[in-house]
Amino acid sequence: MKHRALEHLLSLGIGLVAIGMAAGLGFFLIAALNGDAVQTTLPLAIDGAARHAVTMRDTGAAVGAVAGDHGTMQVTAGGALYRFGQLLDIVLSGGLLIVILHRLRRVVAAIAGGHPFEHGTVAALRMIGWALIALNLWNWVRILVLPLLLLPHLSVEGWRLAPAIARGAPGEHLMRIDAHVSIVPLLVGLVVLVLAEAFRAGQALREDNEAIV
Amino acid sequence: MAMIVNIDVMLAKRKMSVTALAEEIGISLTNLSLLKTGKVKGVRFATLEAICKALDCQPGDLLEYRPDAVD
Repeated sequence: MKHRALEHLLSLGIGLVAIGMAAGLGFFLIAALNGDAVQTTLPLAIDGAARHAVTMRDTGAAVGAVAGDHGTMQVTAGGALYRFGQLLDIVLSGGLLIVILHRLRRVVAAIAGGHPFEHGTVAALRMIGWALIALNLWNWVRILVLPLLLLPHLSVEGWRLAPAIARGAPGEHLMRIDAHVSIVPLLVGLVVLVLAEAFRAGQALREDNEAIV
Repeated sequence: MAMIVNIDVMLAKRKMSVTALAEEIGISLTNLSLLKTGKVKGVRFATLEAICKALDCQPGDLLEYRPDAVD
């Protein structure tokens, strides 16, 4: 892909994230001003859900089971702490994404300008790496903290609501708030930090080379 | 640095200007001035060879090691 096209793509990404962030803040402010409760959707893993046998059409032999054991739960919460958490999520996630895209555009511009091994590129790559790690850590915090904030206040008749790692007693109907913990942004962040060190070495070599006549 | 560059001495002996030498060996006047004042980290053999050829001298006539010399 041409550098110019990549720069335009990154600019578009920054614009879209900024619009998304502004829309999120707008909805948040309208809800806060109207005194509306904040709604969130939680992924659920349902233990002991009804299982249906899967059989062969011709022989009728049982070959497996299908279970509707995953779903979502819509929760309307209006607590001040929850509201603050949502605002923090919009600002932090959106802000970190904008920082990443902005610095990436700077790196692409430096490469397009024919001077990739500069202090600015190294600093930008380091910032991207740390921002990716921070984004991943924030997601972990969000996944872990959200159920802790909500679970004490929720109940579903006939079911026990629990965090993702809970285990139900025999015969108990258990709904666990599912936690999809990803480490991909963390790994990518570490790779980018290593790349930044490679660029720093390149910068030192370039400076040495420039001082030789 | 303890390395002293004596290009100006050789230029005076050969009655040649810095500009003329820069043109003859094909490096910029800025780089030759940096070399002349010892403000570089190194010299390529190709550059040294070109200077020796232009000034009709040996590398030892251009470079001198003086342990007590400082920047």
